[in-house]
Amino acid sequence: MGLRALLGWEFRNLVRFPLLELLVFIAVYLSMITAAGGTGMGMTAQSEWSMYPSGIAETIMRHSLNKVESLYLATIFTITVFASVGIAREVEAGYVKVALSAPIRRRDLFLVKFASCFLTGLAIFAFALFSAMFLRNWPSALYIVSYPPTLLMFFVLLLVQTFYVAGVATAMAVFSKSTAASFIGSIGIMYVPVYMAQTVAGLSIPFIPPQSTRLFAFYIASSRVFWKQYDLLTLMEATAIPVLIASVLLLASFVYFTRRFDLS
Amino acid sequence: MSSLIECRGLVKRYGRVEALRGLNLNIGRGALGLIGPNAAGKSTTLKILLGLVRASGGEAKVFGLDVWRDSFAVRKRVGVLHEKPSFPGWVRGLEYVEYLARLKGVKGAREAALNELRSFGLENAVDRKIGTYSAGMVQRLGLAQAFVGGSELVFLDEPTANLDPLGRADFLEKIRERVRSLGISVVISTHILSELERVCDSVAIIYGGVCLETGGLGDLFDRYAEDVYLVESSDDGRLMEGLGKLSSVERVWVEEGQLRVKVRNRGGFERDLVGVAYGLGVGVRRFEPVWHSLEYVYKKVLEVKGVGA
Repeated sequence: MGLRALLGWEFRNLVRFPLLELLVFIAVYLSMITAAGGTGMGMTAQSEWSMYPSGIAETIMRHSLNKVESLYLATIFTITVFASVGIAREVEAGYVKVALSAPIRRRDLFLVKFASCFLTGLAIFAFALFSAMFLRNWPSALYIVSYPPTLLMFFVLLLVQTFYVAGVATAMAVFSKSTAASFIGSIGIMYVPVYMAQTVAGLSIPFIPPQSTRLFAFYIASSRVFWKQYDLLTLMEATAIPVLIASVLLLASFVYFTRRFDLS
Repeated sequence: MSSLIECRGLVKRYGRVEALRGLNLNIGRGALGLIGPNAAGKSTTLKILLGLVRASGGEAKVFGLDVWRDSFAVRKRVGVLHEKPSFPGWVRGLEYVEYLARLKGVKGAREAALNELRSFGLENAVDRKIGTYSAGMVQRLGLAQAFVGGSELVFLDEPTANLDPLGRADFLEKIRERVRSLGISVVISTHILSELERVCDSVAIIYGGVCLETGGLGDLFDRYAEDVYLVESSDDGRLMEGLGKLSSVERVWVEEGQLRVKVRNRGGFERDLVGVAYGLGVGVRRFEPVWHSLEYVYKKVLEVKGVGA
């Protein structure tokens, strides 16, 4: 009963940002409209699915994948706000002290905080992405979502990316106990390596999203072409390493929160 | 009788700062006042008892349960009002107290929350967002959430802060009633000692991270209050001179324009006073023992323990 009340409470708290959610929706929609103009970045390979009817469906697919970086930015912004406000801000304001004075287990509070950031972020993001596709061309979008591998691709892509971002953001919020430090630190950790990879010639870090998720999406969308360009190790790096980084950070912050986290 | 709260050699360090230095405390049921100067370690003790802060050393138990290992079980039976409480401003008062009641596993959480809010005078604000509450209303909400769900033990840190004079009196009356009729135990940490006198059965005095003294109010008065009499006469100067020579009198002085006499032996002094006054031809208009406040006892304990008032 207590855990259910806690879960309901946390989810309700996180969906109190309708403006943010609307902005994410608009950002995703605009990024897809812009991408349809034809200057997408990243993948250039044709999807195997282009052999299926409706060229528009293929265009949506390709351009949404090509905009992985925009989608990634929307993800880190949204989830980092959730973690900073839902965890660090609540510690600063004293709400966590009041919550932990009630019969709530620390491990439950941590897991619920992480799960609410992760699942709310995932839901908003998936909703925005699929809505944008439907608004752009609903018959093609219907065709895409009714084709299981496509759904799987979107789902895994979002899952890996969201888990990475939610893991880093939650850990930063717990360790820093400060809204500003948590927000800036999370964005720094998640975006600086990407920026460096883009600006320093020859430096390649495929294991950091969004490059990793783009590679992964490429694998799912066009596996035959993928194997001609990359190997299994690259694919493993693309998927396992972000998940591993997020898992290690989450575990460390979980141990800290449940054993050493003083609420003064 | 088993103790409700038991602390043995409790130590808490925040970096180089030692907030608790081997605190020992043994508290039974009833209303206990926790007093001491700022930074004495009162709030740290409460936080350790609630499992919010982990002790660096020693042992603390509530209901015989370890406060860190069995913190969840302890908090199911405990309510708390923190000093300067803050609650999410975007939530309605009723929703918040109901949520806490649900966490405590209360059946009919909404009704229980409503009752507590009514009891603390918030019946007209249950549907208002907490962000629109005044400081006094937030304090009342804090009291309601501390007592909701049938808490057996309630920790109250500066509970009357922000309450108006009538609100304070009402609150103190409610606490006294709950302690006596419902058997709830309360631990009140406050600097307003006159309020503790009205509510508490016992007091623990904490200073510099250790417990200097603990005991029932009556017991502490007996041990630390001095036998001082206030005397009003037709000629204080002459009477002062005469009383100063008595073996039953330790000291005579004038304070706030009134004659005060510290005695060694009450019965002996009362007899001697009549004789001296009669002998000097001085009329005694008023003669009564001075009532000592908890504040006096508190200062006396600090003085006796050599830590200064």
